[in-house]
Amino acid sequence: MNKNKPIYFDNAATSFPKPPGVAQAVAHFINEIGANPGRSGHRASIEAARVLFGARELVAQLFNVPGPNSCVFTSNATESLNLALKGLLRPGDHAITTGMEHNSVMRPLRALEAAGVSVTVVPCSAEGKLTPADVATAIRPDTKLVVMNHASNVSGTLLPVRDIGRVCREKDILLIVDCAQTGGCFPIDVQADMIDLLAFTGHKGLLGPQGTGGLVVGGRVDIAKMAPLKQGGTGSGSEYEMQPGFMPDAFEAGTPNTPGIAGLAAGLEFVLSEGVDAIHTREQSLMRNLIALLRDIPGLNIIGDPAPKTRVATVAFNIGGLSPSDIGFRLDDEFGILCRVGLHCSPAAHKTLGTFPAGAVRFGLSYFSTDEEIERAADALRAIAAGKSSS
Amino acid sequence: MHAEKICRKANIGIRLLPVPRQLSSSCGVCMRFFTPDKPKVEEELAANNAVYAEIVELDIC
Repeated sequence: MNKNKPIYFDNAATSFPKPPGVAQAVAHFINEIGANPGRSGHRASIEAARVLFGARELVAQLFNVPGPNSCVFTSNATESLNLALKGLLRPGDHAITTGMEHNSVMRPLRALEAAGVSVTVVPCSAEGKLTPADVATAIRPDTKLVVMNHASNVSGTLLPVRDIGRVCREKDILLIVDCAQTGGCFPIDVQADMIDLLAFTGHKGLLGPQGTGGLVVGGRVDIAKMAPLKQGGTGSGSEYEMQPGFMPDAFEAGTPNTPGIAGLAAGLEFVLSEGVDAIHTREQSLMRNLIALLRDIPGLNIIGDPAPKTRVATVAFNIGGLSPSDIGFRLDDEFGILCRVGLHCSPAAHKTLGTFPAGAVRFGLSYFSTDEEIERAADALRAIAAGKSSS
Repeated sequence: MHAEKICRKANIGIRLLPVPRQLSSSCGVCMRFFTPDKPKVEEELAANNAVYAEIVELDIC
């Protein structure tokens, strides 16, 4: 096994490393604060509540949300999407989605479909692109919402969220956006982009720990008509046995992952201080270099549009005659390059892109990736494609 | 927590503490301030869209 420092190219799965402040913030909470936020009235509980509220404010700042209490914390984007979809869709409703979704959208939708919700999957092109007019055509009198990802976790290509937002406003339906791949590395503005519910994860581009995420709920959503996933203690309205109806307590029950959220706050502070535009520009530059090198390798083909104007720092590819799992194993074992192979929990996207069922190899870079790592990875792929070993 | 940030920024003397039994049996937290500051507190909270349950006047000390 290759013993050099590994190259971590799996940031689309989870980001690594985190900025140094993140682990510190988690440890600081556990060692110095420790209390249950907002439940008790003592100074430590109040301090824990300040940490939680501070994190809500940072989320609001990043996504241009009018008020911090519109930011509900969940354990990840999958929980956020389940909350939004199961909260809003009832049997007899119609939902629209795209052919490039991750299973965190498709699986809850298919479960809801089995329970009487009708679902339309608007096809995307073989390169993974979505035409807004196709979404508009799919809207019917019983359509409640559109749910879509902002960027594919397979091909990295961005979908036209703002155009779809405009369509949804014109037709008076809701838009749910899964920004797992774009949060923190591509500008998102829930107001300008006309996003009604934004599902975000804490452990990818927001650079926080696993076990954090949330749902931003916009003003067009009638929260009285949105069912929570769970009920329980909130530290508010304790004289009642009914879940409170105000934000964010309506959708948060039980003790939150406060140490994780403390870490998420540190990740958000880092993203805000570097600036999303700077992060995006840097990642674009890395991807330009990587894709140029990949295109030069005989037998390697990039999945989806190789040169979209803007993309996130993710690219999927295959090498003719080799299986993705063989490539991935050799990359890890011989060259110390860590990446994800297979279907990436997105069978729908792979079907659209033409890589189903064998899947593909996926590189997910980050703000911390280097050009040197890219060159080493390209050299490794060249060797693998040419049938040579590393020794 | 929102109210606390707003009032501290506006330099109003406040203290967070458990909700007194006279007001509620909730396990919540409330913000205490002096009666003369009430108009300013109401103004600042409204200006910043802070949501709160109610303001109650108590005779303490």
